Amino acid sequence: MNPFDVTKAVDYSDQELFYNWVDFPKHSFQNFIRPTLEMPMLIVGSKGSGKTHIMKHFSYSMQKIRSNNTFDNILKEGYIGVYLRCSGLNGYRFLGRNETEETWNSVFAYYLDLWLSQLFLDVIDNIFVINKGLQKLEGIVCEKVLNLFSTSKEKIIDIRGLIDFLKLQQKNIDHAINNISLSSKNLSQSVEILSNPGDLIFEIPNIITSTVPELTNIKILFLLDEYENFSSGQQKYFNTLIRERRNPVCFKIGARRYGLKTTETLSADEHIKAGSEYELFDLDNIFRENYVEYREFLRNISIKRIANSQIRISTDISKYFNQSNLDSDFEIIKGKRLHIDKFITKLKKYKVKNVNEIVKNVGCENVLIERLNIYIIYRSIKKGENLIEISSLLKECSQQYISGHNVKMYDVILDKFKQDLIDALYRENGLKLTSYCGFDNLVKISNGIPRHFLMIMKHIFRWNTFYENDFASNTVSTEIQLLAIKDTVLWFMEDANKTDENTNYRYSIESICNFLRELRFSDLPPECSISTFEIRNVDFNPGLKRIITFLEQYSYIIKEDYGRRDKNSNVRNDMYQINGLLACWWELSISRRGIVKLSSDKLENIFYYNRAEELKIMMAKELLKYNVPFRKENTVLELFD
Amino acid sequence: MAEENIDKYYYKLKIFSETVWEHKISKNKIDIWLSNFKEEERENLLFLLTQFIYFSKLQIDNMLISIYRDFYKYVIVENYRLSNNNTTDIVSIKNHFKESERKSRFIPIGNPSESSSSLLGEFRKINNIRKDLFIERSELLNFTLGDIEHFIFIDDICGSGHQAYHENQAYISHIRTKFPNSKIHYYSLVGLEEGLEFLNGNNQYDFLESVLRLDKTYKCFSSESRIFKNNEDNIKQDDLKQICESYGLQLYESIVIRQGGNPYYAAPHKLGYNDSQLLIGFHHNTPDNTLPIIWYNEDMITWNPIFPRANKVY
Repeated sequence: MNPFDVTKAVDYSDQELFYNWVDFPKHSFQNFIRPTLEMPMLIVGSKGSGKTHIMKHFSYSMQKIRSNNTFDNILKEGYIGVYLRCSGLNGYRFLGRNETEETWNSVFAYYLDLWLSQLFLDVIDNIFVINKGLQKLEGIVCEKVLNLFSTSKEKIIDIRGLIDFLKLQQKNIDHAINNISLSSKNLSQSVEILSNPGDLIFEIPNIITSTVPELTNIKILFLLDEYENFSSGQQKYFNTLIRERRNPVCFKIGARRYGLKTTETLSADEHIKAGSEYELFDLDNIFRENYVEYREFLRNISIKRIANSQIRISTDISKYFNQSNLDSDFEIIKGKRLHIDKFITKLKKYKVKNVNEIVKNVGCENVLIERLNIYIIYRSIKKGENLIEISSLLKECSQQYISGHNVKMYDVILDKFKQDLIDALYRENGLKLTSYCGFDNLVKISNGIPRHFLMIMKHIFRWNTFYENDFASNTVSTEIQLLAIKDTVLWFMEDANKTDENTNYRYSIESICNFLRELRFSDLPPECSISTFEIRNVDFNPGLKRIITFLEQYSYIIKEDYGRRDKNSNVRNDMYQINGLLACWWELSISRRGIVKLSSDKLENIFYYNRAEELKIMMAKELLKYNVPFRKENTVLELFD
Repeated sequence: MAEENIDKYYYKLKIFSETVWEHKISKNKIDIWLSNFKEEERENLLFLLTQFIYFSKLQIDNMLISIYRDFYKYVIVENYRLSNNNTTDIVSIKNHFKESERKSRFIPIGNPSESSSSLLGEFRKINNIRKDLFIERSELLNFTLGDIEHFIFIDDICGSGHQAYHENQAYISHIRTKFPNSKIHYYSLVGLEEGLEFLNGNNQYDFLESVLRLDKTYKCFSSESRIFKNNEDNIKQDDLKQICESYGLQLYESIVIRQGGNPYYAAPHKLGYNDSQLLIGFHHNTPDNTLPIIWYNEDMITWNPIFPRANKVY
């Protein structure tokens, strides 16, 4: 069995969720989420960041499991969690069909009140079952709750009956909506709203906690997951509840990045404000800013899942993953020396004199130094220096370096470009880049999105089976890790298959990655460790903004929090790093060091699929600057003929 | 070997293995199989392996259901209704079918150690048929009892049709003599059209069907072979055929020699029994109609099969 087969919390049963729960090291999710906090909280995070797992952890069904079904232990937590997936409401039903927005909003508000109240009463019913002594209070609770309904003459004596009553109201609404096209009545005639908006959500918990002495100080925590599935109008209603929250009710709202479509409320169209009316908890940021804890978190998840699958491993999980072996790979490269062939071809193509002597001088038994010497020769070509002299100097430097001396010129370049030169060596010699392998790098690649890591692990286990490789007794080869990354990239890119009249997101992703890769593997790259680009004033360009928002929303690019200031204008620019999975696929860096500055024009050429021709010309011009013979722009055709 | 193609083929094979091939192969098993061949031949063979058609237990179980239900039961029911004014009387239909079933005998093709025999065990279980309605083929010659109306031969594959024809001849003569009013059926999971036509032409069986009929496009090296249609990888049919023939001949020769025959007679079988040229395998076994390089599992020549055939040399 593959311990990583399940990568979505919704696919787990409550028992499995509990069984596979891993807390965030050091800080604990409890400290971030603070379930009894009165101020509502919006939990945002990318797809796969673990929002559902975290929110479900605070739900009553999980409280019950971890409290061994003991009422007193549940009470010790100080709250009762009521979990709802917003997608379950099919919010899109409450739209159109010749009904006014106002009517729909009223019906939706009532429907949501009924739904949440049912979920809450289900929990209460269960509590009354666990603690039979409380059942004597059911009659009083029912009487008080029924008073919230304007015209009800029902005689209900227990919670179950109350739930059935709410269910019936909800069913009536479903019936009216489903038959709206067939009925001669409009919605306002066929649906009767029996309570004030929000009354059920706030007052039923109030009735319960004031009637049941054991629950007096208990908070009722509504956990609304997948808030992005509500339309703006629907969010507007719930935003109003957030604004007008009353004790003992607390809210935690889970949403994707950009899932909060509006901050408007129904209170004279006022907005809810982060910090004063709700607290914003950005899960991605927590994971990205606390790398050590995030790494530990993924390690613990892995160990737990593997152990739950009856596979015995040690807690030092890193040792199960092979890393790049430079020594053996350099030996292979030495045997091939294709980087030298490429170098010779290039020099000859541009009619450099004394090629044989230059090549002889740059040669070194250490292939990294040999490639570094080539880099320096390229730099000298750009500067117009005497290549024979430089190569002779490099010959001496190489000898010094080999004999153990420090060579300052080398140190300066290697400090910045070492990984780029290593990757170039691999690439030029037809080897796959293995610098992405190893547990720490896989963590890095996931960019703070646990599901990306879990997907890689899932595919590692699949490939391990195909390779008949036992995880516990053998390390995972770099080959398997790269295959697993490839599978994960294919899965990740599925969301990008979205197009509209002017946009093809997959094209935009491929295009920016191709562009950055060409820069990274040019003869003299403009920056080291390329994978990040910077863009100015993107807010003024709606077309670009839409694409960037989509790419960021799905984490194809990761926005760096503070951007950086333009040296000349002092304007703060936006900075985006290519997602780690994409970086591996396109052989970009997974570290963020060098930043490629792009103007709106350039980025438009890259992102807009109807500008492929312009992009070709732009790339050719751009690469002229970084490739031998480093000619001016007007020689484009000569270089690419 | 073109790296990209190799990666692509392994990738495909991994997906096949973890989905429809019941984890029957692994990277190691593929590499061991490839070690039978020369380095320069391996890309071709890897491509060939991606074209292999495997019938899993689930598929075979459903095919066995189909044989019993569609070829046997429904035909009996249909005939009964036709001769009874399209009756819908479920009780009389059920009684008639029960009676017909009692007067039926299901017989595997081949001897008890062969794959059709174990297949028939599955056939019985999955269709919930009484044990006493099954007999071994060898028992047929002594079988004279009862008022049997249907003799149903079940086979996994009908390739050229020659085995089903020649090997059954004596048994069928016996049935025709002893049970002149009975009907003789032959049903297979998979049948090559040419084999089914051959059997049909010989009128040996009253009823003849195959769940899956394979036309010439399933023959690896026929001019219409589906394997090489839309072949983007520039794999040459002639090259691959030559490789399969040269190894296949050696392998089949060893079988013929072991059976005491003249190696000369191996030539027609170098691409599978009687030039079947198939590339298929079943959960329970790989038929000899498939290319021998896939299944050869004898000890006369050191060979690592990828889908081994249960040893058949007696």
